[in-house]
Amino acid sequence: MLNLSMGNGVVAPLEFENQNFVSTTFNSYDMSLEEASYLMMYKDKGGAIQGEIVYLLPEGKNPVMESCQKSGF
Amino acid sequence: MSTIIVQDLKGDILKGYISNPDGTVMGFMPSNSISDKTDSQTSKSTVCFTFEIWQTKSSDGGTTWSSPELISTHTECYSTLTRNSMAISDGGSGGGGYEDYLNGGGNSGSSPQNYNYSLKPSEMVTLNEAKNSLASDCAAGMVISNVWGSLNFRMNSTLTTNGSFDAASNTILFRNTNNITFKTLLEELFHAYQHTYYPSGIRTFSKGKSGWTNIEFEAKVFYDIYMSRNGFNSWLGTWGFPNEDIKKKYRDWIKKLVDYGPTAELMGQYNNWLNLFNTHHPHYKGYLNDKLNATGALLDALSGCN
Repeated sequence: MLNLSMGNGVVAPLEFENQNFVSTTFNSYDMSLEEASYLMMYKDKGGAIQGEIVYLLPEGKNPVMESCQKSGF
Repeated sequence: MSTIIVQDLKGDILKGYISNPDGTVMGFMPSNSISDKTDSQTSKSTVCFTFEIWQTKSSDGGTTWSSPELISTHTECYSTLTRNSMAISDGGSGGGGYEDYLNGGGNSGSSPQNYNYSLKPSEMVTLNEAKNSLASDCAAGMVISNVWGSLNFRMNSTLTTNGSFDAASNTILFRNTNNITFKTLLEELFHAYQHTYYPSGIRTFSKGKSGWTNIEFEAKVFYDIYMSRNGFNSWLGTWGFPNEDIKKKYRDWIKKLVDYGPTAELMGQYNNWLNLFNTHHPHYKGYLNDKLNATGALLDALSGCN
């Protein structure tokens, strides 16, 4: 259980049946969706359970994970 | 620097953040949420970005994979308020505004969508920093010393990739300023090196032609060797490999190449990995030329480095 600013919550990894990868305008490299995302669920101040999917997309100069760098050649 | 995107369970994007290397965080808000906050002291700038999810499928338990299919795309527009050229951010230390983030700074007012130009002085500084960080590596330094003087460098917004080497004009192109990194540069430099090393150049093996897979895999191996030798946990050759066991075996092979050099025994395994790459890589598979022994540039670049 995490004590988040918006209430108590939990985070859990996501698993996908197929190979998914994510690409954004800001992120230079496609990467595995499983590695880039997690599910966060929390109970808000009103007591309702909220769910969010969070994508954490490292960039460029500090490579830490398997990348799919596409070359235009 | 990281980008953080938060979606609700229906897939709508709720908010986004940029985490800066100094620990500050810049948030960006849906563009319609701050429309009433502008006054004579502030102005609102809007930036849009695209968030895509691609998928590959296997119908045989992971042996072969389909070509990537775009299954989800969102184009979201966000706003920043700017005052006296400083971005209003939640915890950030200011700067040139969010559009400057897109352009790497110093380009306020220019459109990030359409450009094609020789690198600007500020971008050349970034480029040279990337080059200098690579040059201390024996093999990368050898590649740089062989190709750098003859290369041109341009920015081209129409690229669909981070970088590209245009053999016809001996030019390395970047899609945007954020793509001027040692990672992108390393691979494109090696393509330039391949072009000088192979007698007929590499234009005959360009995208979609027989041999493209060979040329790309050789570049991935060179990249992975560099990253492994320099302590980065970053791998290009394993993309699409069906399970962690195979990925680990590939990484172990690369690490042995780093430790022992390209011995006959280790290079004897090269084609096995090339064939796996040709089977599984979502972008580069399918253009293997069995008769093309494209390891010469790699071996030449690594020679004398162990």
